[in-house]
Parts: sequence; C-alpha cells; structure tokens
Amino acid sequence: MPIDFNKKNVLVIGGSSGIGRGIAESFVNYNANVCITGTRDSIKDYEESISQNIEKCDYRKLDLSDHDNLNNLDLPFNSLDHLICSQGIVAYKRKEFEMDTFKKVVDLNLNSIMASCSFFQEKLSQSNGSIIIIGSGASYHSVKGNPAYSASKGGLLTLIKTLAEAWAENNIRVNGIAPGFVATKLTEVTYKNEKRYEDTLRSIPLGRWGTPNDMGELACFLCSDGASYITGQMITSDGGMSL
Amino acid sequence: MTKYRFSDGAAVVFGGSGGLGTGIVDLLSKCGTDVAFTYLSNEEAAKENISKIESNGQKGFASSVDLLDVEKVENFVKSSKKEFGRIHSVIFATGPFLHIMPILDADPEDVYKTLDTDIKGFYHVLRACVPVLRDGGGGSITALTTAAIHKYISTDGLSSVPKSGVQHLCTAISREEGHNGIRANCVAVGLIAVGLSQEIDSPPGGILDQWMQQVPLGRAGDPNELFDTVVFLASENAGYISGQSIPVDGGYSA
Repeated sequence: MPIDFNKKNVLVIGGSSGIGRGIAESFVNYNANVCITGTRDSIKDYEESISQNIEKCDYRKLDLSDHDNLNNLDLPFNSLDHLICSQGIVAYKRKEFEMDTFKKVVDLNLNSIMASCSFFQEKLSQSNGSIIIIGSGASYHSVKGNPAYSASKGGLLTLIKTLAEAWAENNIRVNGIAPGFVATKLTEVTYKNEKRYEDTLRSIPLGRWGTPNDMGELACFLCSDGASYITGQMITSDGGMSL
Repeated sequence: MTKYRFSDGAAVVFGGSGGLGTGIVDLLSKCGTDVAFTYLSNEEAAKENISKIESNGQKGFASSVDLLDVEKVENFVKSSKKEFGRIHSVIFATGPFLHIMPILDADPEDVYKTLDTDIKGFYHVLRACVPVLRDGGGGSITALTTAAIHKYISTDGLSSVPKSGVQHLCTAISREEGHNGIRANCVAVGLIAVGLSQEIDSPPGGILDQWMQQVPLGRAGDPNELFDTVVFLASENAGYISGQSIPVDGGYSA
C-alpha cells in the first residue's frame, strides 16, 4: 500500500511559498485535499510559478500578525486531518536586536503557531489527526545575527514536545521538521551570494542543499499511518550539516 | 507506486530473522527490492522469511553469520553483492538478550559481551558494507537502537550504553562518508510489543510498567508502527536525512 491521503484534509499555513509550498505539493502527490495560506491576496501574487499541484490546492489569505484572523479563515473543508505550520519570518541587518522587531518575529514564528494549533485542536482531535511544525537548525543552535529567529525556533522544540504530551489523550500527534539549508526567500541572502553558498556546501556531508520536496516527503511520512507511534519529535533533515 | 522508493539492487538486513528483523525484511520486499539477510541460528525462521520475500515477488538470500567474525561478515556482503549486483541499503537489526539490572550489578562478562555484540558487530558490518556502498554510488545505513538513549530508563544500561556506541558510529559515517552519498541513521525503539521488549523479564512495577507510565500515547507500539520508520529512513524518500536518531516511542523521550 503506497502512502495515501485520499479524502484527507490538510491545511498548510504558510503554504504559499518555500518549504510550506513544497510540503503542500507532496500532499497533493499523495492525493490529499490541500488548502494553503499566505499573506497576499492571491497565490498569483507570489513570484514562484504555479505548478499543477499548487493549482489543485485551495488558497486562502491569512495574516497571522493578528492571531484573531484565524476566526475569519473560511476553510474549503469541514473536518481537518493534518495541520502544517510553516509560517515564519526573519529580519536581517541586526534588526532582531531591536525589541520591536524581536517581538514581531517571535510573535509570528512562535506565538502564532501556538494560536494555530489551539485553534484547530478540536477538529484534529475529531479526526485523530496530526500536526507538523517547521522548526530549523536554529531550534538547536545559535544564529549569530538572529536572536529572535533562533529563540522562536528553539521555543518550537519544546512546544512540540509539550503539545505532544498534552494532546496525546486527544489522539493528536505533534511532530516537527528541522530543515537545513533549503532555497527559499528566507535563505536568499545565502544562496544568492556565491561565496556564502560554496561555504555552506562544504559544511554539508551530502554535498547539496535540501529541496522543498525533501521536506514534503518527511512531512507526509510523519502524518502517515506508518508513523503512528511517533510523537513529540523534531526530525532534522539537513544532509548531516549539524553533526 | 510502492510505499517507499529504492533504486536498483538489494537491501541487506543484519539480524533478519528476529522479531523485528522479520517484519523489516517483509516490508522491504513489499517495496519492490530484493533482500539479503543474516540470522544467527534460527534456520526455520530464515526459510520462512525467504518464502515471504518470494511471495512479495522479490529475490531473497540468507546466511547464518556471527557478526563477531569479521571474515564471515565480509564474505556475506561479497556474496550478497555478487547475487544482486548492488547493495543500496544496510539495516542493523540485531540485539543480544538483555539483562535488566543496574549497570553496576551486572556480571562484567555480560557487559563485555553486549558491548562486543553491538559495537564490534556493527563496526564489522560497517567495515564490510561501506566500501560496497561507495562502489555503488552511495546508499543508506539504518541501525535499530533504543529510546533509552534519548531518555534513560533505570536498569536499562546494558541496552542503552552499547547502543549509544552504535548511534555514534552512525554519526561518524554520516560525517565521513556523506560525500560518497552514504547516509546513516538510527531508529530509537521504544516500547514495542514484540521482539526485544517481549523478551524482557519484568515483574509488576518493573521496567515495563515504569516505561509504560511515561508513554504519552498510553500504549505499547505495534511492531508494524516500527517497520515503516526503518524502511522510510533506508529509502530514497528520506534522501536528505542523515546522522539522525528517530525515536519511535509514543512520545516517551519527548
């Protein structure tokens, strides 16, 4: 039996671009009904070209800089089987050392994920569902110029463990993915600089950057029946970089 | 479409006739790959495994191999390569009988024996397999360890201490052989209702009861809930995951 999410409803918050988009594509590959969200009015407002799989997804605008916007989210399905939280921002040029920016980044990267998980807890409980939260290598180690990004991603590590333990009795599994380098708009600052990019390649034993599809395959596995005894884990997929 | 993708060639399972190895061999062959495996003494179980592999439409090959005999391990790997042309995945699923007691109460001879079976055994497997994986353009190594590495459980030291060595050997291979396309990962096995867990002699209030109380999902795992993680990590679906240990433990170690 192949992995199959036929008739399963999957919401990918932040599925409009980057890793979230890759995860949405993988779920479509395995026959899920997928809804993706982004902060722009339309999926057409994103630079990435619209693949056949993304065309099959429903798109909803959702700006979680205000958590109350969850109340206005009109999902295309009534039940929910899997929630993927892949929203995230980062601020460069030492902006995250300023408190206003620090708060803004933590509010989106950590607080809005707690808000999203809580908002959908009941629906996920009704379907024996699962949650995937996108962490980072920064969940485990420092990022010199990004205290807010690193602290928020570190916070997700224990949020995953805590929600997994707390909601096990609701039959909700909660896991995370800690991606290494994946080419998205958040990592442009690295891969568009040739020297920086070459430096990263030397630090990755498998000698390549990860792809959104690598993360999508892992997310689909963690949501599948084959992973039904895995909960509370953040799984690193980074080609061995962090070893 | 099979559940997990493999390139041409075969998977090799060390300890393929035990409670867990048998299920891994079965799922691998269901994913459309040939399988070679070792067993220690249970020839009957090995024959049954071969029939299962064949009923899944694949070829099987088995041999009785003591992993402490490095020459026999190397000969087995050579024969497997000759039989199937290429090896794409190596799975280490052996485990000695476990003595449950505080580590300092154990008979030193038992401690040395367990260290040998796990660490020397796995080291022999790596010495024999890594050059073959390199020749084939890369592949995966997946070792079964214990969730007690992530969160210690009292009296389980004879299991978790040697398995920590196995895990770190995987870390070394990930770092040192990654550029050859070789990945190495561990599955940290929690309380699973067959195989090793079943062989543990635990009185009421003993290790199994203590363990169960700390499992958020509130139940022991079914063996089928373990096999998928092993085969997923071995497969191309997990092509960017290397050097990781994934607990399959119902949240015990979280």
